[in-house]
Amino acid sequence: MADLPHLLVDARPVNHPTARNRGIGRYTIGLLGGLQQVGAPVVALYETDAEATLLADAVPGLALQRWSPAAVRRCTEPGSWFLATQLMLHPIPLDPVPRIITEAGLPVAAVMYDVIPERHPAQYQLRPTARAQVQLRGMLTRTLDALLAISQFAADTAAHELRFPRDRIVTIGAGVEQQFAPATSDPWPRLRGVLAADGRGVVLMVSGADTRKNTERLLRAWGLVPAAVRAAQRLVVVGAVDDTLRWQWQQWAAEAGVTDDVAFTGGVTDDEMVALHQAAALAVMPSTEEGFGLPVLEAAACGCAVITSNVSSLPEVLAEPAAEFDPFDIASMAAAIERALTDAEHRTVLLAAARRAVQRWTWANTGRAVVAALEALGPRQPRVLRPVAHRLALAGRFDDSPIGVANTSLADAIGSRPGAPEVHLLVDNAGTDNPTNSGPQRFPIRALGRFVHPSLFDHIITLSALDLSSGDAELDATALLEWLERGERAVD
Amino acid sequence: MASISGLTRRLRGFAALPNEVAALREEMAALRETVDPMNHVILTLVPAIHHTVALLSHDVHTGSEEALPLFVGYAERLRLDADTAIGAAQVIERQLSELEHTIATLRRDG
Repeated sequence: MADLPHLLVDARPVNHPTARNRGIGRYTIGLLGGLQQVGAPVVALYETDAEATLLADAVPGLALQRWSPAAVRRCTEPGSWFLATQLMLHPIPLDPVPRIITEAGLPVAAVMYDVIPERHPAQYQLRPTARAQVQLRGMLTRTLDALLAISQFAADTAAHELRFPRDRIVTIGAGVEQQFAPATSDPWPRLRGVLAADGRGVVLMVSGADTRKNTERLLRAWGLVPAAVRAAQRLVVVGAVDDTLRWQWQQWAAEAGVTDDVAFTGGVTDDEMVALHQAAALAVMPSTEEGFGLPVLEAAACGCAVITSNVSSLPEVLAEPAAEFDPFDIASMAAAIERALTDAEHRTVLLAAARRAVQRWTWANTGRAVVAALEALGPRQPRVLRPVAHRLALAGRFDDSPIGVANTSLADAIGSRPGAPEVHLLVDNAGTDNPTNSGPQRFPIRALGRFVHPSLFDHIITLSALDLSSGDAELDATALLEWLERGERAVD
Repeated sequence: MASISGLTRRLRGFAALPNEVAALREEMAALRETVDPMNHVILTLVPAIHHTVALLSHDVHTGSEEALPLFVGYAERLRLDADTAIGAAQVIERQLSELEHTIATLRRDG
């Protein structure tokens, strides 16, 4: 077992357009909070100011550094790890394992949420591109040193689907955000915008567009619950879905004869979600597959009785067989709902299971599990750590115009200095018929951001913004390098 | 011609002979010489593809009429394929790096 001197964590998903509203953004914040709680030597690497602000608010005191070679260089020492948090979003060009991490030779672990696209190709790999991306994700995963799975089920299925050594996958679990807590006041006023009170209780399902959420069977099961029970309760289905699917849900409800006993809220805010859980007499999670099943834990944390399907990761969350039902059998589901609402003794068992789950699944426990796993596993093979190269990107014109010629001379002058940083050119082709973006260290400037990541460079200098007007490339190079060095000393 | 899978297979059954290490290092360097320029081309061309598709979209939207959905479909496919190429470049970079670590270790042992 080795000490963990540094743990670099990719914090970019917290505000990424395709990740922040999914579990991955929220999981990343919870994980960082848990690591900080247990005193892990964590450094959260962000790219944008918006990410930094969000992280500083969510996890006060967290060590934050902008993605850069310098940040990686400072943490490159034996025993350190990089934790990739957005492997699931690969390989749309999100850069799940940035090139500077690979260059440094740091061992890489990735959070493994689920392998649902791999397990259900008919639903998730319809397009050839989707199939290619799934294959690439498997190939990328097999270059990593460890996987940290959010459930035992995710660990087992990832090992099988991705052909990853099972002994290098550790289950780290998940936690719940603090706002999910029992009510201290009447939650109904906070629900004014999404659900009108009608005197009935709430049976809550947090759903979504995916078939695996099993909304159809739940609606049909609700129709099998005795009318007397439905007279006192309303099934509330939460989920941001398009009009077509909402219409389909309404059709299923009508076919089940429960149109008046169901409400579809659409998407809700965080506070409304908490209030719904606090108002609910029962939460039902009928999914046929989840990576973990965070809504189960969120309901439990709000003091709500919960019943779940007995497949995939869901039985792990409550660890209470009495709370489970067969999600493929609507009669079983209906019986479980009726019993959970009407059998007082059974409800005591469910509520006790919910309390145990909340104590067991905490972000602090997740943080501890991560540190223990990385210290115990070590890299998959011996690694030669290397300091990441210093890189300077110069942005501007590099054509045969007077400005382009001067810029090229400056770049050549910098590049020829002993010990100078590697010079890369971000070429602005605007207004020229003679683009000059070929060559080993030249990229079109429009590549910066999405394709050529800023994290690759210690500095990105826009030449038109600088006053380098000596007319002597050597003098300008000296001035620029001295200016950069002063800046780096100030940071260190 | 050197290949990642070929090198990986040889490394699995490798007996750490010094002359074999040298050969592996040469093949690794040859692979790097092939792959690095390919990655650079991808990083240069993909933004150009995105840019061209965006420009074309602007032009086509004004004159294509019923052919528009067809064009949009092709354009989207082109963009996704370009993004996949970036993902493939990232994977190849990681695979090469892993091989380099393995060979570096053998070299020390040898």
